[in-house]
Amino acid sequence: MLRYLPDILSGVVVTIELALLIVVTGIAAGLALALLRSLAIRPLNWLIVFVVDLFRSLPPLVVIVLIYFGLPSVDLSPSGFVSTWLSLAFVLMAFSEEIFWAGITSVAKGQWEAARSTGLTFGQTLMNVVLPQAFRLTIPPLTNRTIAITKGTALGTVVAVTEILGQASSAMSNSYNPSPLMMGAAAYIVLFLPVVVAARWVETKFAWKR
Amino acid sequence: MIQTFFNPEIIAASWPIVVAGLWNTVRLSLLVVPLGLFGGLILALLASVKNPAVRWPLMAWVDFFRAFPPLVLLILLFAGLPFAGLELGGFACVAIAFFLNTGAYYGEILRAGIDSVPAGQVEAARSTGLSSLQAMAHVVLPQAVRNVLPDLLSNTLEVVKLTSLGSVVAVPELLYQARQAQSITYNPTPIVVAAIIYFLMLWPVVRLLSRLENRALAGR
Repeated sequence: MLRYLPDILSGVVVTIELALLIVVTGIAAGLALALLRSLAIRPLNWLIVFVVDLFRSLPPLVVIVLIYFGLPSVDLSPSGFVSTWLSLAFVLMAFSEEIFWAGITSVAKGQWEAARSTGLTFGQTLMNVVLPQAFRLTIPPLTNRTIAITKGTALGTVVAVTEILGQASSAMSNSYNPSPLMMGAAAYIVLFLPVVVAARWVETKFAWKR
Repeated sequence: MIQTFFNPEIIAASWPIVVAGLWNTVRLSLLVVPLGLFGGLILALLASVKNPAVRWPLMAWVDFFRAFPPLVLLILLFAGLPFAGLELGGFACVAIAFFLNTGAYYGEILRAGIDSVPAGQVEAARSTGLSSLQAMAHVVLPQAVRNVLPDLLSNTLEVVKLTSLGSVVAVPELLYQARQAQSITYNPTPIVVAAIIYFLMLWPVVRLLSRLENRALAGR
């Protein structure tokens, strides 16, 4: 069992790298789309809504498989790592755009008007008045989604990413023993349980006092 | 481009395979959604017992499955259990994994719904002579479900999407069938077709959810 510990640990590193990449790029892209949408340019908004709907309705595994097995036909061969990263980042982008947008629209119109009438520009109003209020509202749904999507890094196994599950599965078939799989399962719990508990704490901390 | 991703001959050839997968996805969803709801209902009812000896283990259970990737759970059942002498088919493994995983999510949603019903409702119901079980079934749950309907629907959407994990343990659902067709034809068209089917099937639900969420925000 100990023989496979280094494999599992290298899997943990890959999982963490992948998860961080997905979270940073996915949420940044989602926020960027939500801000673009607040400019209220009609055709652009239709496009944004379509892209968001698309990645909300497609199962993440289907997106991964599509990118990994589909793109080589047009002479682009993303690695399993890149395919998984792109797919899950797109999915997180879609969900976080939706959440940020809901947060932005929830700030009453009067606030916009009041801020603009005091001489703030559109950008200043957005940054100093609307977003701080919007963020508070978005935190609980955003943490939930982010955890759910980051757990999806395990899907990378299907396209041969050497993350935890991939390493554990191959160690299991090499050793004819389920111990590596149990180690992998434990690694996920060690990695994600603190995040889930922290999310619970953040949710209560940022909840509106009613 | 069209020859590669939307090849008409390959669409025609792989159509029966892909459609068979679609029906299996529908069947699988019709099995795992009620199963998850049932698991969630058990958890939510247990959580309404305000006893710390019940609540803490329950919270640990829910957090465990929120932290544990469903695919890992599925592989653990599918590839791990045979070592313990218990060989379940892919289909049974999917059913069990979904019962555990999605049950935890449904449980959290239903618990929030039950919490949203004011305590006065239970007290009023009890004072009219309903037993606590009757009060739960006839007074609290109907309101609880209505209060969290968008969340229930959103989770159900996720569950249907999650059935694509069945492809990893050889359950012949939509994605599995499409990949089979792809590997026979050496062409990604079947996967594109499967993606379009998923999109057409689930897009109306996504639209509906967006509307419900917007309405909930407007009502604040």
